[in-house]
Amino acid sequence: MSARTQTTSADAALPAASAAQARQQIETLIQAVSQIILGKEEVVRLAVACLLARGHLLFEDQPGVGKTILSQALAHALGLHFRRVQFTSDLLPADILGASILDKDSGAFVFHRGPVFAQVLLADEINRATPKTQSALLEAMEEGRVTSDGSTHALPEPFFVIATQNPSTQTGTYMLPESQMDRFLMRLGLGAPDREAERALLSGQDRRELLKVMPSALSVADLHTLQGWTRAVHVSAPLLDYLQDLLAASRAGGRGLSPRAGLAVLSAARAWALLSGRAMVLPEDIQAVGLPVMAHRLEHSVEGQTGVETARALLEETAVP
Amino acid sequence: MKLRLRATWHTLALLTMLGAMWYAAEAQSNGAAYLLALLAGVLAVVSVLHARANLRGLSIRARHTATGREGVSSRVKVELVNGAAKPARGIEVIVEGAARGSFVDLVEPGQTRFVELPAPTQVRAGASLRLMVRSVYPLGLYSIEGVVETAGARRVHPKPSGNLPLPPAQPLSPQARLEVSDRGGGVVARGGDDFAGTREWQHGDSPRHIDWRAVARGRPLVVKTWSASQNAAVLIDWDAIALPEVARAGQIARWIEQCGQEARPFELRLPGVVIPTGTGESHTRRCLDALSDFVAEHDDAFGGAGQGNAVTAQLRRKAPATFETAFHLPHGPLLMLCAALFACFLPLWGLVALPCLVIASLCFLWRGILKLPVPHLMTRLLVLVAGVVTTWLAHPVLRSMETGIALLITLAGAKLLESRSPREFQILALIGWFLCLCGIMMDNSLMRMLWCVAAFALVTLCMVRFRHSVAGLRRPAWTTLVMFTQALPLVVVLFFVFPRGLLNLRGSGSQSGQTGISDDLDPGSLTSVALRMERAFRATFPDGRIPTPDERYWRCLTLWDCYGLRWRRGARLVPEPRLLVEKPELDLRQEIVVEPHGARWLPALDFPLRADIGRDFLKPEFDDSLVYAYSVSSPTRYTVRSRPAMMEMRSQGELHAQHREAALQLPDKLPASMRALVQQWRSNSVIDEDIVVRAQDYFRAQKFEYTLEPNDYSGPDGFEDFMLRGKKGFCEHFSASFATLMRMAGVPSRVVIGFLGGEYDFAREQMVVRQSDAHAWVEVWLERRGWFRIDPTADSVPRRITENVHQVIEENGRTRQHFGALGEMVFQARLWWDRLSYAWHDRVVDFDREEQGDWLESLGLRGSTLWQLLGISAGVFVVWMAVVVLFLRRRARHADPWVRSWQRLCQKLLRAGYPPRRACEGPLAFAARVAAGNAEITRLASLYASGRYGAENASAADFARSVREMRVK
Repeated sequence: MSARTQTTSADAALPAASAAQARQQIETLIQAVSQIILGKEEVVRLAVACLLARGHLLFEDQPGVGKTILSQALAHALGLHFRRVQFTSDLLPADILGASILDKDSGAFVFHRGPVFAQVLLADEINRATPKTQSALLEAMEEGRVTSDGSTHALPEPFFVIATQNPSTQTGTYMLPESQMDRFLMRLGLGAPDREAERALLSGQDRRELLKVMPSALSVADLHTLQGWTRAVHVSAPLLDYLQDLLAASRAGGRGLSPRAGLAVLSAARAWALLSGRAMVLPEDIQAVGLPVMAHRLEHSVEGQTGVETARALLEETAVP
Repeated sequence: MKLRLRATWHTLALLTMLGAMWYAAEAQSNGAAYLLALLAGVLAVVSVLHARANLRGLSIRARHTATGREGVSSRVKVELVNGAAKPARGIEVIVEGAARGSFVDLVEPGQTRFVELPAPTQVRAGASLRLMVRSVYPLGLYSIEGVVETAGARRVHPKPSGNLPLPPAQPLSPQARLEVSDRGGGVVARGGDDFAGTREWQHGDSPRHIDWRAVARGRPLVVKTWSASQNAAVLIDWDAIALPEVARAGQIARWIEQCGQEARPFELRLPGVVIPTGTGESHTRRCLDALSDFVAEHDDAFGGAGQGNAVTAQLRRKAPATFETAFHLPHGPLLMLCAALFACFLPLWGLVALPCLVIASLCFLWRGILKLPVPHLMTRLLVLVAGVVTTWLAHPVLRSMETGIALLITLAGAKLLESRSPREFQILALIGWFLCLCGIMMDNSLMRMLWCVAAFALVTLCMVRFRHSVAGLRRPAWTTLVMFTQALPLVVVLFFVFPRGLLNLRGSGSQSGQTGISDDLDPGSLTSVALRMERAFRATFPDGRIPTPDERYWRCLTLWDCYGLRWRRGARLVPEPRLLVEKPELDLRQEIVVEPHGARWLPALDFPLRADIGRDFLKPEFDDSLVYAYSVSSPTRYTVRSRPAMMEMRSQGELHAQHREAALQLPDKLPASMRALVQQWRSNSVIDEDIVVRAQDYFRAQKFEYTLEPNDYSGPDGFEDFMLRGKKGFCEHFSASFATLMRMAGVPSRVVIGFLGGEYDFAREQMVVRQSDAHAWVEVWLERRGWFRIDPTADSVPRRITENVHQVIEENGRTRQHFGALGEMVFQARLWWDRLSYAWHDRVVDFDREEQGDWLESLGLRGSTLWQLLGISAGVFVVWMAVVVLFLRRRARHADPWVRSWQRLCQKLLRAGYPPRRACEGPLAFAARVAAGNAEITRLASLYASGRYGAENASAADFARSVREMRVK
């Protein structure tokens, strides 16, 4: 059974047995990654949910908390091709996408693929690059392909971008505009590990060494199957009511969540439901993914409140139907 | 949200109208009018409960709002959530301090609506916004208000004003300079040599600084700024400004703005607040915030520079303007109201001046059907004047009820012509309610009552439909029906127990037009009252002897002057003293309560001997009738001693000469045919008795028809017409013609008018005599017997004595026509309807203060005082209102059976001491929080989750059963 044919349409319900099987598979993946990233299981779960929902991930945190390691661990655990681009202020779009270069032998322009042609791309410190370069990457994320000099090149499947961003207070950065923030399904923060995990980290082996010997927990075909199942997770009418209430409530105080944000919440909630081994989405799933999915979209929508505060207030004030 | 009831002008109008209704009912002592007045009052109270229920489930959230500026209008977005089972309608939401609100027509149950409201424009601190919710639904008679504190805060900065120059800059100490630069803004100010970027052009900027190159490229006007390092700071001190306190805030705001634009460092000093030197946007903002907080706090002291706290108090005291005068009247409800008012008019057709009705109907046509706009003022005045003039022409008696009603109708028409806003609609609807009462007051038959109540309901429906503010009649009709159903039981109970006669008005409204007994007897004067079911008087018999049907001749007046078929009372004759000894074995004592009729006669059984009225002793007049010294304008109680057997006894003497002359007086012109007839009787008789017997025989032989529809005998030959040609008549025709014939034959005679019959109610031990029992008979003077009663009606129609007029007429009609099976059914229906009508009059219309007293006595509440009755009424009222409130507060039944069972489970857990479920909590999260080892709760929660949110069709009934069977420790 090929993974691609497994991709079911939304109305065909996912059997509960598949959901249970999916949960087992995902648990092994999470366990594998958690071996590397200690004490951050919640973040790992959300990152996996983001991957299952075919979304891209934005990490916003201080340097050195393990963003890169987490991305690498995810790529390794899934056996995916991993590339990393360090964004700097002089980085040009062609440095990411690739460029057409005249081949002396054939006398024709040959497209040399840039680092974007990877299955897992880590865009480190994305807010250090100029907006022009940022938008080149973001376009590729949205379209799933790269167009250069009139020729179009498809990006590999799956294509998962993990971008990291330094907090906005740092100087010399170009913060991502809101429209481009919307391209990321979730925004996560890692934060410092707790004391116990940090002790284990300090006393244990080097993480990069561990990465090298880490076996892959899932195959690419498995990932495709899981992504297909994610889209088949059942969404009932009362749940859509709840989601719509949330969206409407966010718009009450001015600029709220867009319909695209609504779709993002829904797909993330589906992935979370599958993660929990359920074949249907519950309001709890929406609440679980609500903060990482909504917070960066609600930044600045309320005067004097951070996006996280706004999103939390939304989730607490909207009644479950 | 705490809801309060606030009276509006409409409430005042309602109270006035209810007062007028009660006054009218008291004046007529009319049970039907009481009923309608109670219905209006109870409906108004029930609608309060509905109005509260309408807003109860509503919750309002205002999330946050941008900072505003004084005097600049802006809007606030709020969210209305209806958590109740019923839709919330006609809601007005107003932000505290704003002059106007927004109107929301409908929030469905469970629905959320977003509204943009005008925000307050006065200076205010960053306190949270308070919103007022107001609704006049369902009847618009008062408003229900609630004030909600929201989480959203809004600050309004003072408006920059004043033109004082900026205070001179003070040099900064090096330490201060360092501090300022640490604070982020940097000590740079515009006006130096270094280019410091551009900013948007503001009014007052020099054209030299405009970046014309950018403008040429199509950008908006921008101004280039330069900076230089700054070593001095402006000190803005509240106390140092030589301005009245009201103007200081504006001046400071201007300076802050100016400093902000020029990037000058400045320090703000307010009493109690010092904001150290700084520059930049955040500093400017901080200073403006502090300024607005300060102004809002000391608002009262400044005499209204801003109106922060004062507005809160003002919101409590005086509500902001409503939409009552601002909205336009939609056409649909207006047309409906026109139709309803027309329905209110219809019962008045023929009772008040026709031109008034026509004028009002034309007004309806104009606004309702032709949809024409409000005409010019002169036209409206003209309509009003025309109405008043026609009223005056048609009803010369200005103080009569008809005149009042005609004027009211004219006013309704004129009001409709100028109706533009909801206020006028409301007034018209209240007039409609009152017109329904007028319809009943004019004539209280059952049919009319039903019609008027229907019109009343229609007007109510119009009000509800109007306040519903959404098209469609089904839901308003349902609401109206529910309100009526809730009001009616209470109305019925209050009808019996609410004290009557509070105003002690009985009789002041003239009812003399309703009785057929007057000084004149014209053909048709008794026919006209033959169908009136009003009670004339009630009699009880203290000695226990009840008069037999042929004794029930109640004497009122005696007529002496003869004009053929018309008779007049004539002049007073000399009294003829009679000495009669009381004989208890012969006499019949009656205690009579006569209804007010405006004249002086008192009914009494034939022949009265004496009457005791209060402390007065009353002797019969020369003609044996009882006449009181005053006109009877209130229910009057008296005791009469009568001797029905007087006729059988021998005469006590001769007829007084003057009496004889009066009793033989005849008109000049008498028909020859009648003369011949009388001559024939005379020639064959020896004594007067023979003549009387012959005449009686003649009347029997002629087979006169006893009918309520006699021919018209009002012409000069009416007497002959009746006797020879028409032969159809009512008692007055029989009696008048018989007495005239007797006089022609030389037998002294007179006509007596009074009542014949009366219905004895064994349960209440009283006899009720109605207006329809009015009767006329004849008395002739016989030598050996004295005045002797002859009833020619009884000679022709013997059953008239034992049965009431309706039964006789009915029987006559039945024998006259031959009905088929269908006709028989129609006849039975009519009979049934007549009985119903009779019961209606007997039990409802005539249920007055005395009857109420009797009824309460039969319940064991002997001699209840006014206060006791009021107490009982209040008790009944409170109990019933509590029932209605319970009904309105019933829990919403969710459409999904899964949710119903889930709610039941949560309730069960709550009762068992578990914490309540939070609204934002999903089933599994709730179970995880509260279950604490109770696996059953977790199982049920996951069952519910998969049932409600899952794809499989699980059985809701199984879940419900599990919930029912679950035992919580």
